[in-house]
Amino acid sequence: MIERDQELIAALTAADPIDLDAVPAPDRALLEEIMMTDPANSPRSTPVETPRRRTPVVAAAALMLVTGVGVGALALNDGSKAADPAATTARALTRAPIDPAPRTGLDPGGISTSCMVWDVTSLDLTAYAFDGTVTEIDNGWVTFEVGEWFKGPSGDLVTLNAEALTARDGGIATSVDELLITDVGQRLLVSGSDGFAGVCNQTQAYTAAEADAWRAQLST
Amino acid sequence: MPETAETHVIAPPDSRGRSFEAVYNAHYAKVWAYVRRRCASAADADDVSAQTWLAIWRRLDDLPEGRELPWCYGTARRCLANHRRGEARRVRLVALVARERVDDAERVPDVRSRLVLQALSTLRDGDQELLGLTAWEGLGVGDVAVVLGVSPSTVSVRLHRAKRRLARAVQELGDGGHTVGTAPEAKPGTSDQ
Repeated sequence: MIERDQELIAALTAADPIDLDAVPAPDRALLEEIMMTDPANSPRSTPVETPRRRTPVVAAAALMLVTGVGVGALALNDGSKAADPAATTARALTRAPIDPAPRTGLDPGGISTSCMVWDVTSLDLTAYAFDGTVTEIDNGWVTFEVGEWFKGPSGDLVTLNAEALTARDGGIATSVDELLITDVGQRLLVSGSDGFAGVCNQTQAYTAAEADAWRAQLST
Repeated sequence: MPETAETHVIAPPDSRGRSFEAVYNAHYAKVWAYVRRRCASAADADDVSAQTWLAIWRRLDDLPEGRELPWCYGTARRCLANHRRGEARRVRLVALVARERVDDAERVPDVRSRLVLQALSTLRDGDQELLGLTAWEGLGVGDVAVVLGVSPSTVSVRLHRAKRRLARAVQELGDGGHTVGTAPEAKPGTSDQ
């Protein structure tokens, strides 16, 4: 098995899509240009940067529709985060008027949950539902670019607390439901309330059929 | 008024500047290659690479000693994400990348490598990133964890699954009876997700 894995990776390595001989040498002009900028005064955030709050809050109630919650470690946590320095360009997108919930500080290893049976009528209990693509994952907060709001406000971008769905230290989501938000570009169907992306099928991988079902349920 | 020649006075870099220059010179090519593998064109790679180094310059104080390169890859990864932001743009990019990858695949002389590359393109983005970081950037589990901002154990598990899915994709695409590193199928009733 290991040998086969190694052979597989070796074949992939051999299929490197770029020609390493064509990789440019360090660009001296770029280096000098960058070093002439003042890092202290440089913008460290994107125009669509996620709003953050420093309020320490315990928000166990956010795990909606989850029964049998056994929270082993529900620590107060500083909800701040550093701005994304990498973001320098972005087109002007409007933000939906939903504030992301502060981090709860849930210990990934300290929670066990079981989910109620979910069906599409459960969406009636949520505050918002949309089809969105992950544009940023940051320490439990996830920003989505919304393709379609099924329910809730308008806006191109929304940031939600998705601690339970992001794979920090293996992700508590592995014990809650199948879905993990792991990558920018993931297209998801998201529902929730109170600034959270809901767990237990409230947030699902996008499929056209499921999107149709959500749309139909919430348009009635 | 007579034209006068401009005089540029470039001050010698301070210790911060020297540190950045050292990282820049050591890793510029690798970071560019990382970005290029994930961009539709060399021009895009130039743009994203420049954004990456500007971001690194701003965050130089956070650079982890001994893990400089994976940290730079992680910064580049976020710049790539910003570059792809915007659904219409992203769709165009995916289409471009997909087309380019086909072209790339056709350029790869080795049949097995071509098959693996095609199989890779069928996997989800997260799997592609993990496998790319392993096979093309040559990173170990610990460094991949730095790039992705997750624990090494998470990387191990995901990488194992990604390899399995790649092997399965290779098998499904078929290679005329010459299977590349095909892992056994999962037992009935088991799932890796």
